[in-house]
Amino acid sequence: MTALRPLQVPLEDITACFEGVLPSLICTVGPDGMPNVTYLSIVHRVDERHVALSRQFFKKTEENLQNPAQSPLVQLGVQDPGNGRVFSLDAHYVRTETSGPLFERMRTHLDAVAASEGMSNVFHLRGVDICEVDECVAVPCDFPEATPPRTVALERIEAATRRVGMAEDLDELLQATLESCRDLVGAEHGFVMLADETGRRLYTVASMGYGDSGAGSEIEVGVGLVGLAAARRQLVRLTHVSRDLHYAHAAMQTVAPDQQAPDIPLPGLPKVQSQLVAPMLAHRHLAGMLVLQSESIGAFQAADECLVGILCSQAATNMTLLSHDHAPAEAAPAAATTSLVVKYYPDDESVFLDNEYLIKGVAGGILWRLLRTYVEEGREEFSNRELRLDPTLDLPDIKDNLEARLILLRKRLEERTDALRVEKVARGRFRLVVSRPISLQAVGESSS
Amino acid sequence: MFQIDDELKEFSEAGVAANVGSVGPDGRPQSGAAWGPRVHEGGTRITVYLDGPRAEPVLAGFRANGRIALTIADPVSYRSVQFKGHVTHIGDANEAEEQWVERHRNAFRTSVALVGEPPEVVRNRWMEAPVVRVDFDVEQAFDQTPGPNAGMPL
Repeated sequence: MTALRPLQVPLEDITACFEGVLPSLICTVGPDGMPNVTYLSIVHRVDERHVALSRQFFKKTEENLQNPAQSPLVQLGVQDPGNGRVFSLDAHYVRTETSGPLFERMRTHLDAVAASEGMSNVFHLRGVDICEVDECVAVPCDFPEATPPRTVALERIEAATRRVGMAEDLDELLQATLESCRDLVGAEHGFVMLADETGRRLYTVASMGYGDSGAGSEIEVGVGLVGLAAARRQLVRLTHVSRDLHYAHAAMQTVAPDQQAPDIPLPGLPKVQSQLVAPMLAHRHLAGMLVLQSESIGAFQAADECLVGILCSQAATNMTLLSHDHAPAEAAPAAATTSLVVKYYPDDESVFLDNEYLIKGVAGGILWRLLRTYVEEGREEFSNRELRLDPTLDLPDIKDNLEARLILLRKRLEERTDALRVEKVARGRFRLVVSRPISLQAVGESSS
Repeated sequence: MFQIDDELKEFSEAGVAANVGSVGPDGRPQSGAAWGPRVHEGGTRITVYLDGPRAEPVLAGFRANGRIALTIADPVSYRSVQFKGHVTHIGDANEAEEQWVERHRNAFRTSVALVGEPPEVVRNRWMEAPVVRVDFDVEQAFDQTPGPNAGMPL
């Protein structure tokens, strides 16, 4: 076995070229000796000597590469999104993968592009062609200054994971996770969705950097970009959303979005260009999803996937540990003016304040229970434990669920009314602060 | 011989991204950026221009066997077309041709700006140096737009 000659430009020195920010060029040779040149949305770097090409549309390239009658040579032109430098990779086809982690990852990326606009079945990944790189050279240019890759010191990573790992309640944990993403990855906008008790839906409990927090917004697992990543338990990174969507539209020809308008919109940037969507997994259990967004092209790099992955694992693990409550207590007053009308619909446990939708589901049921106790018993302080033991709430036996619902409820109340607040008074205890008289109306059947 | 109609000529000469491919004397594919596609009268011949300092590997292929592929793509709509044929002429560009290339680069710069490509990236797309003229006869053309028709002959 002969040792491979080192590449003039090591692939690990040009990782930015493999981010998918700018399209790449691929040139092959047909059996008739004719060149075939076309574009490729992403060239993935597999290791220091191999790249992977997603095969969706190119018929001729596929015929040329897999033709056993001739040498399956390929030349790739990849471009640094930081300064536009082009690198030319001479390679040869090795094999095609139609399953496995690399294939699944590339399939999810393609589906995510379509899913981010509510489309599906736009791209069909037929295979992933693995090519070995024989040489990599820099194409001459007038402005060769390289953009330095972003690096994060290990000490900062350790400090961030420790902060997430040592959070004492879910609220603090989510805050620490989002702020660590801002510190390590430079993400100014992000949100966390947690899986509900069925594992089929995700709801937003924490966000950072948006006008509307989006707390309480929900999606179905499997639907949309976040839902797709959740269903496949995979991290998805989009680096140039507008280009990806143009590409999807070109491929689709006609666009038929299949999404419905939600009760509460997800947090989102109007001109999002980069997204990093990561599952929060603890022992393969999906605790939730972390979503980071930016209006800059190429804002999240390959190395950021590792950083966010570490934070998500730490957060998910700590989430499973954070669920036992303790107790103490005290009390507080309420003020008055006109009555706040609270309507409750038992069918879906939705709650409306002065006819404006507030929340539904488990969090809605909890609020109704708190308000009834407040009116009937004059009590303002509650413990997590008593809610867990309350059979009327029908809480599932999942430890972290209640705390997440309480955070969600607190945020929705903060955004929607001045009359009601949920305040934490101690670990596992909170207070319902009512600053206006309230009138409770259960609509439909009686609620008890 | 493939005949380019007026609509395709107009598309080819707008602010498209253009890249050529050749097959080197060693059988290896070679590719690189091209500028100023121009469809000749009659619609069967195209001239493109290559950056002089970058052109040699691709030109070596043209000299060896004459085979050429040219793909043009709209950076905004992704509409793409690939032409294939044989090179008939390689030579220097005159001043008027340099201006034609400049016009195309400006149109291209506008197209990629629409999809968010920053100026520091665009400025390395080409080099401030004389271009090399390449003429070829178009024998085949293919739809290269991403989608089910990609690769279909026009």
